[in-house]
Amino acid sequence: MNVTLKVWRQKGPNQPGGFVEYKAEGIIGDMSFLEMLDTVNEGLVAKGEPPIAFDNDCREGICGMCGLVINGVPHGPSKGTTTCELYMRHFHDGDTIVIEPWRSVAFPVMKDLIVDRSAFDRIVQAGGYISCKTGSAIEANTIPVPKPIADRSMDAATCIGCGACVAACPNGSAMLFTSAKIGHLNLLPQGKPERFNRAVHMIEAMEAEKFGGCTNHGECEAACPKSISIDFIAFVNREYMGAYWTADFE
Amino acid sequence: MNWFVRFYKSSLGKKIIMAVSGVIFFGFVFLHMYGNLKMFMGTELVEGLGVYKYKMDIYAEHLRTFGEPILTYGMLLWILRFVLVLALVLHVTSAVQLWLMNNKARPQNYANALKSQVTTFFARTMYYTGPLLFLYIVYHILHFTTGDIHSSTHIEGQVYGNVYNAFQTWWIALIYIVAMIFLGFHLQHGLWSMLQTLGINNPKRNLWRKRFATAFTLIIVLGFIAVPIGIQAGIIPEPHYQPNSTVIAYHETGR
Repeated sequence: MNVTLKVWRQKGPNQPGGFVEYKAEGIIGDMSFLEMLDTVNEGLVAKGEPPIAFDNDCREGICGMCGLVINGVPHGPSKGTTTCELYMRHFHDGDTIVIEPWRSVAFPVMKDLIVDRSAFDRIVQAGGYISCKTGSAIEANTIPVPKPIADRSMDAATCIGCGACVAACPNGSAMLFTSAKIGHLNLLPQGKPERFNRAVHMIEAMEAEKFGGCTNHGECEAACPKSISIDFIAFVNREYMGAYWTADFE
Repeated sequence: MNWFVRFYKSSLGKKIIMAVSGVIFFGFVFLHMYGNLKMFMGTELVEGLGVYKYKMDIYAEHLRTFGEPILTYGMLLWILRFVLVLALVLHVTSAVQLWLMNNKARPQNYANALKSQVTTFFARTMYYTGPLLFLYIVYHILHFTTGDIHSSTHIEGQVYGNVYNAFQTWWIALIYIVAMIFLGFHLQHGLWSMLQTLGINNPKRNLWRKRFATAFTLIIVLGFIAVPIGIQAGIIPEPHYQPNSTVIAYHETGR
């Protein structure tokens, strides 16, 4: 099949950008979205033009590197899927596909479709860890964890930090990411000792990056390639209130 | 840093303040709606005085004598007004500050607009229904509380008569009905949203939160608009007050 692409091209940070049209010809439905872009890039390189720059790494939906806003939807039209796992069979011959980078004050565009997501790293550095002695791993069942709690924690821990929640949010909020990162640790016994510091510090780090606030639209959950629920946002709101209620944080 | 300053500086702190003030408003509009339905209940014989009064008027007077003798006359009403004004100031200030903050979070917007997946019409119009409700509250207080607007028929104490006379005019009735529909829009997202913000959430039983929002939105909106519609439809009878009294009904029996 043949599709027309309207791709955001931008030479570098803080430079003006705009849509450029490309024809993607001879695309097969079993190609992933990124393989389709590879095909277009091969054509561009052959013509001596600069290829479209986009982030990607594992191409199996677990690394969180890829992420494009495809026709106004982060990660495109299929639910619970990263851009790399989106297949061209979800499109039709003759379609026009508009591709844009994530838009957020905290995610500056570096080039074309690549954004700098190190703001997420700084949020995690503010408390997305547990403090413990390293060394050989302790026996796994020393601390019992109830199965439902372990499952909920794992649901949050599936976050790959791609930033689709921010991209989809009408307010550019990073609440889903931050609450997933706080939630997966605060639910577990190992994360409990630092739960209140973690909740307050990571929320404050999120705000220091100038992400917006949550207004409960639920767009993040719909865009999330791991379908992480906004239940974790409510959970973190509760942890945050608990921190101020007990005043057990720095 | 003072803990409250730190709490308020955070978006979560402001949201929690918005949710708590939202709970206060929810309680207020529900009770206000309940009180308004006294318009449908006609008159009642006041024991000892041997006169009939409109139940609406008795209710309004009772709000002032409530809690006596621990409270003085009108004290409860003033306490409630103070709490409501404080809640309104906090709700509006937080909303404006959050709005300004959220506006800065995406300085370069999408050239090809984002497509909403799940957000509702009610959620997206909160920033419009909020200010509209504020204007309505100002209008409503100037109308029924102080009697400064549409004052030609306003008589202090004759709550039943004042409401009846105001809603005889079709466009005043319409203003109130439209305002209540906006209130419904605001409540539909707000009631659910306040639970989410306050962390009242259980993944296993979350369906009831949306049901709670829809049910109470419908109860409150229908309860409120029943009065202007009841008057326009002639279900609520014309008031007759004793010529020398502002509160005694002319009727000897109910209705």
